[in-house]
Amino acid sequence: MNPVLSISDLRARLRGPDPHAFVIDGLSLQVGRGEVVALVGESGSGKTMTAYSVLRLLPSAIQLVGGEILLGGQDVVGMEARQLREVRGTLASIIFQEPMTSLNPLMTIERQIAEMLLTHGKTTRQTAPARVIELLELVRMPDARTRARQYPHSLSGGLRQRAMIALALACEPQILIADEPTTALDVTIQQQVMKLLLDLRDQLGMAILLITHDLGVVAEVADRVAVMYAGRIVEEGPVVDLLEAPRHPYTAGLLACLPDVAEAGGRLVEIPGLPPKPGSIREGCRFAPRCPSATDLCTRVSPETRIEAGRAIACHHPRMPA
Amino acid sequence: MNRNAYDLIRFVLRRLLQSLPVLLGIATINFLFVNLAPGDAADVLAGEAGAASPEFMAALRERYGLDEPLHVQFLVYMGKLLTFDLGYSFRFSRPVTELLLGNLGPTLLLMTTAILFACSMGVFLGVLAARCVNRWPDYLISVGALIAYATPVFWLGLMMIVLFSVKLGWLPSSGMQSIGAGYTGWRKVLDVAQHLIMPATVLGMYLTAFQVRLMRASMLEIGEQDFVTTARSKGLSEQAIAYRHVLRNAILPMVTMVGLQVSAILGGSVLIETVFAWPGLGRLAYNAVFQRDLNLLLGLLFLCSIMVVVTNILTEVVYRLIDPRIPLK
Ligand SMILES: Nc1ncnc2c1ncn2[C@@H]1O[C@H](COP(=O)(O)OP(=O)(O)O)[C@@H](O)[C@H]1O
Ligand code: SF4
Ligand SMILES: [Mg+2]
Repeated sequence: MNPVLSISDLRARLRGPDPHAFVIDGLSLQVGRGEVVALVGESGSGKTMTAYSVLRLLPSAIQLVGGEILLGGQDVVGMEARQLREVRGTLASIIFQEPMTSLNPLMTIERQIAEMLLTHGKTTRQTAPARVIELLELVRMPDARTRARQYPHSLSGGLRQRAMIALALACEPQILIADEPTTALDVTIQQQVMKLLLDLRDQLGMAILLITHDLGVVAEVADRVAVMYAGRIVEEGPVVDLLEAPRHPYTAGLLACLPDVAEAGGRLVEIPGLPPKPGSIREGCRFAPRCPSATDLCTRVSPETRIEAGRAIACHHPRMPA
Repeated sequence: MNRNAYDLIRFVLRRLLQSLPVLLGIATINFLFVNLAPGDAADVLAGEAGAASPEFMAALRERYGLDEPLHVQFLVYMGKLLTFDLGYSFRFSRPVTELLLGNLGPTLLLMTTAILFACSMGVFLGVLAARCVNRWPDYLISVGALIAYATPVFWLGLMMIVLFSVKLGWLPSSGMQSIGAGYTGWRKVLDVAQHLIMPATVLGMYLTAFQVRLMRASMLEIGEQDFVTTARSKGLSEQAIAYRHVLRNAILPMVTMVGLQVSAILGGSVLIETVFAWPGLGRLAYNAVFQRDLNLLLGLLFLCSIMVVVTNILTEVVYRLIDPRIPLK
């Protein structure tokens, strides 16, 4: 089966004097149709920039410099502006982390959703309002008719995120990229929104790339997990397998910080030390300064990604399978 | 719709009510000006009338109630203000209120044109500069704005007269209408418009430069915000993003700026109206100062404070009409 999203050897760097300031550094990742893949990693590891790259939404300070992104088989990296606009929202769409700022404060919810439908010719001016209500009801927006005519500021964070989800699903994309969709919300609301996303996946059958901090959620919802560190995927595999027997020292470190992986809401606590700034480590493994298993080899040679028994690992000294 | 209109009217009325203390304060200061200056109004009046015998002074004092205690005079003065009786201008031999009203129209026309010019140029050039950021149109516009910002207004006015009136003969150099032409209807409108071009451009130049720079910065700042990334992720064209999403948000600081700059524009109109012999309040103020026409000057001050208050309410209304986050309360 063709993957809906296939990223290979992606590189993006900060514009500026340092040619080695890579924010994404040779990242490869695939998401199959209808699959839920979780992308986890500490803050600053490049998860958001990876998500932005998929639709070429990188901020002006960051530049794609190499690699390939296939979205539904089409190459996004070399795509022309017009075609890119057609792909945005129809093949893939994004839900952002911060629902308070990701909607235009001066437009009603209805206009913001209708605008997208109209842009892609999914509705007419006459039928747009009804279709918007339908979408808002799909994401279980209470009192959808009234809410549609309101401005974002009169909605709570949870309702805004529902509106964002309705927007993202409006043109029935094949993959939904959710960048920490619940991080900014209250704990009870977090669970509702996450459940909504999964129900919608079952109902509509789209794939989800779920970027998250919440390893508890990962265990519950994802099919596969990719662990990201300093712009790279360091370990990737089926969720149960990987969480039960992590082989990369970084993954193990993340899991060791959890009181109980199986317990929902277990949060990612940071490993001693900080992730490196883009460009600060040029040789060897990026994790070496914080790694308990680091050797001389690790500081000299960057580890290649190897695939063993359905698990991808980038480490010279992976832990032995249990 | 009706509900909004109702809210709007209530908002304006309440804000007008709230500005009454400010206006009363200004009126009080006006009153103190007259009464704390050495001598009393009779001295001024006598000086203006050119006669000063003690009998005449006494008669004046009695006629204008200047022999009454100060608080009585104050109440009388306030009472007169409330009926827009601002006293008499001996220089022009007409009531101050009549003079002010006669000159208000031309000044409003000049100021409104200058402000609209500044705002539309601000939007047009500011958006253009932001959309071409760090390319030649941006540099051209930014340098142009900087030059306009730094050019002395009176010099610009004189140079425009030299160029467009004297050398090229395209535009009239002074006044608001061609004297004795007796135009009516559209011909008259055109005639006034021709007279208006230069003074309005010069008066609005400073504000234009300001608005262009503000708009450019504001567009760039808003362009970096999350909801713009959302708009882009929806598949909108850059054009739709710039005009539908960025522009409307970026225009808000401009509206605030008009409210803040209106007193500067009023001040500027004294200069411009004098240079272009525009028959408005500014030229009246110039005359009032140089002829020591105290009543007229105080009347002008009071009228200007009303104008500033009204403009501020207007900008607040516009702001609230654009931005739903701030309720009409
Ligand atoms: N707008 C930006 N300008 C410059 N650098 C940025 C910008 N956004 C993110 N970065 C940098 O890119 C790196 C990756 O950031 P990000 O993808 O946001 O990480 P994550 O989402 O995993 O927390 C960080 O080093 C961050 O400082
Ligand atoms: S390569 Fe070496 S330093 Fe890097 S994670 Fe593996 S053991 Fe640690
Ligand atoms: Mg992020």
